[in-house]
Amino acid sequence: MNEPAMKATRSRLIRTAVAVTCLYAGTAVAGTLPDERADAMWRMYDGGGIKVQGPSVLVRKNVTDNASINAAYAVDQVSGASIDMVVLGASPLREERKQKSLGIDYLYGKTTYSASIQASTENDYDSNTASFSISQDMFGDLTTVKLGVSKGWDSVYRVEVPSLVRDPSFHKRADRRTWSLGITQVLTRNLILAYDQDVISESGYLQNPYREIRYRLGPGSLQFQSAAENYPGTRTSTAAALKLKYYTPWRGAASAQYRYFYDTWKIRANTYEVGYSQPLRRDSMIADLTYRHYQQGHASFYSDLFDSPNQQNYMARDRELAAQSNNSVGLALSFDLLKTKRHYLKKLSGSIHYDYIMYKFDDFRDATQAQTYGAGNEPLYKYNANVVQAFLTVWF
Amino acid sequence: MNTHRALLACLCLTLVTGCAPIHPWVKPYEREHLATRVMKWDRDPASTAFMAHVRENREGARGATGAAGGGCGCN
Repeated sequence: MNEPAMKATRSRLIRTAVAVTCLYAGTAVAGTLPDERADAMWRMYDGGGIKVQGPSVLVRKNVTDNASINAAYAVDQVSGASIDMVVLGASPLREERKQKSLGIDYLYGKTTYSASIQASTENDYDSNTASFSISQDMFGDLTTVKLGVSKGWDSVYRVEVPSLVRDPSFHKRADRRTWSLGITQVLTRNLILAYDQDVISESGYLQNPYREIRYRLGPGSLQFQSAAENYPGTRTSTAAALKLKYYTPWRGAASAQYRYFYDTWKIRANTYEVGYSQPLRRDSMIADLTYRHYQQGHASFYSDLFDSPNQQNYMARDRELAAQSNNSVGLALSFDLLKTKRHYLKKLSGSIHYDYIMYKFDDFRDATQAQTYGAGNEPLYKYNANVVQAFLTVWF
Repeated sequence: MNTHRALLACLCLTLVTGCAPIHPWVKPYEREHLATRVMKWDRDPASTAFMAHVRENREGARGATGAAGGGCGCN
């Protein structure tokens, strides 16, 4: 073959390859099953006197051309003592939470049906959840709409310390329903937009069986006494998030998202998050950097220090319901360790994620310092947390 | 009268164009960038679920994270 003919053949081959790649990439956006992969992870949270660590495994596998199943198992070993436990004079705990889940995704044309069940058990809390969702690609596959519903059944127990045996006289229930809407919209060849909205309705025993409020011993007193918390029996919350992701000229991705949250307990929260992902070393490595800011107002029945044990019907001193904010910075590195052409192993990769979170409370005081400063005059509570995740992923 | 005709013409035009099929403005072969790994919303589902659990147990807000949670782990 002469030189011009070879060039023409090479040019045709390159054009064909590009066309095939682009067509494949196009179909990958819509109407596909999740990646076939297995993740083995070790993760740790350390902050506020509590350390949670343990392994987790996730496997996703296609069983037919149209169906994919997934299974996950995770163990959290919890140790230490939070500020609430220190104030109550409780000894540091050591307990375990186990979570398992099973799910299926079924693809029929441009519609994906997903169903899953999940169970979580620990010494004093059992949780079971069943979920179902339908996802539909439409308008030339530029739009994907997902509707989901899930129902949860929780059982709350109280354990005796230090034996951690369940108190047989204490068993409460809580039910949870979640309705979800998700819309993903391709805006340009480099820009994609997503909107997620969840409405969660809970009823039953929604409080912690150990936590207590504190109240002044008398008007203007710097001494406090503790009493049982009392929460409303229902809670309905709405969260709506808008996310944007942009493919940059440097082959990276810049993302931004905002979430607004409100509920019937009068908590209002705003979450802002930005991130950047950059492939490195001929795409064998991806580096991610994220920054997140979260801020919330307190629940209507929350107070750090009440005037009396009967001040109002509902009373809580859970710092989760206090006015607070946190800032977090996250770094992640994913790197390919092995690539093969075998059908049972396409790629092996490793990932390390690190997040540093700084929590700050606006109306939750450090009650462990009440002796020094007097009740109601203690410094506002704040703490920092480290979150580490290390995992291996196999694609097959 | 002319105004009515013009309005009727506009209405008819709107209805006719409304019935036309939507042509995707980003063609399938133009979605190469959108299909790259860095453009995925949830690249590592196990990690997303863990971070959602960490945050939901310490913040009052929950939901719209694209991750399913469970249990308490809320000491």
